[in-house]
Amino acid sequence: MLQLEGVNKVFKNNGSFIHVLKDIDFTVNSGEFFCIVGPSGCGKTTLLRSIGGYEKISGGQILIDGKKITEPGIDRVMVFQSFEQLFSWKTVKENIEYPLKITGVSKQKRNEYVRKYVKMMGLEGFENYYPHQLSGGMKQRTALARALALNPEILLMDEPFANLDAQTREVLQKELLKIWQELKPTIIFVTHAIDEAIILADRILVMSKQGRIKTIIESHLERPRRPSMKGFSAMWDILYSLLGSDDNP
Amino acid sequence: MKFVKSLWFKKEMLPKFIFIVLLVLLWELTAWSGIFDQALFPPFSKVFKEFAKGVISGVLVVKTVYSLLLILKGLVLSLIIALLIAFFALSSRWVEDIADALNSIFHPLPGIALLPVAILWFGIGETSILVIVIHSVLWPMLVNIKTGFKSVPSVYIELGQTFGLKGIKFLWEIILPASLPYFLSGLKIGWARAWRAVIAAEMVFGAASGTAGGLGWHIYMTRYYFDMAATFAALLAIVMVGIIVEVFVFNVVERLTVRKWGMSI
Repeated sequence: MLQLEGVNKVFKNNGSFIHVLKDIDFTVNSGEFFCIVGPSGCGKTTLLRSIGGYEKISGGQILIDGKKITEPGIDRVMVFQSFEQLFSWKTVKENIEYPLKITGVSKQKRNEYVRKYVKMMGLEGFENYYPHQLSGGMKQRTALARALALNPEILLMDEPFANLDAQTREVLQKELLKIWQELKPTIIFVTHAIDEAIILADRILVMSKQGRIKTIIESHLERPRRPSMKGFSAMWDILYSLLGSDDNP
Repeated sequence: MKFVKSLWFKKEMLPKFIFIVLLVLLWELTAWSGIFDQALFPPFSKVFKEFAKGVISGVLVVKTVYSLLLILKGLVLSLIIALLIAFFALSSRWVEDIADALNSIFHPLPGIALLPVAILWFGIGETSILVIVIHSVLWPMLVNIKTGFKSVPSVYIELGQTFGLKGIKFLWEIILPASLPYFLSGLKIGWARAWRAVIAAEMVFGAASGTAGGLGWHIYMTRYYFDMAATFAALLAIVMVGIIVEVFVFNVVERLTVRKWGMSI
């Protein structure tokens, strides 16, 4: 279980202070698919990076199963938006295998995991490709396979599909849901796309432009979710108005 | 061997090759035309004969190897020092400022200008030449490696932290491969600078303290005896070594690494 208690983040920039996150409180249950949406610049990526341990928070605390987070760790693996998150000097197979090797997984087990997650992410036949030979979608698949192979407590995803074309994004959303239903990791997924959040999430946290939690919406729509299904557009309207209402508070 | 061959006979090499052949022809014709005194401007055929003689008798080989060993020593030592400084500069603001200050002071100083000081401090001999070589190579190499380290995407660094990588392992397995294009161009610049430093220093030193003396000394001596063909033969040796290293070392390394990985500056 992930708990955020009174999390604040202040950036110092040329002597002036920017208060990015303000009094963030929420809890994510194990195995939950949790989305964070917000207008650009609202601090949602900073929030995710704080959970990842990449940003030091200025106040409050972040706990995983009651233990305070201070630095990055193998229990929270991030899938980034950038296509350049794979090590360009390693093949697909080596990229997936490498973190396992560092954490001391035996050669035999490593091969087993690599095979399993290559298959799960549909990367068969591409094992020996270098990242620059892959399409954007294949790169993100590999990054996801690498993260999943580590079997993290929490999967942090920072708009991982934002740079993909619409079709590829849809396919990957579907596959991510399938994998999530099979392995049940906790997923915290940052996105600015309303429909993506509705399709994926158990709960959606909406942030305001000022870096506060506006609200957290629970979604009881049945999966798989389609824009044409009952309730989808209603939720879309709600989220849309929440995201757009910043200008006239 | 097939692989190396395929490198040498790559189609892109053809224009270069044709250009060099034309240049040599022009040289030969100019020398025989009588515009210049052949004692001052020997034809290529004569230079090449002298070159072949030097190679067969071993004189040119010994001198070249002597200079090359000095360069190699200087390059390896500079590389280690530059890597260490760049790595510590990455983790400490203080070290970075000091490295920048040292760089501003020493980078503009030509190596040969330091030679008198080196002679007084380290005596006439290899140590002094080595000091000059290291000085000539270290600063440009440090700049390149530091730029390379800084260009490593923050995503790589964060992934390394997540996977629990630390210290030397972080440097060796993430930072170094990620900045390899910069590293290699630093090495290329270092290699060229080292040649200059060694040749210049050798001309001043000669074959002091019982050493064979390198190509620099050889060039100086052949000029002294007014043996221009031999002087040019020594220059040809430098050019040949340069081409061989470019084709069989740098190109091969680049092909096996950065080009294979789709990396470029």
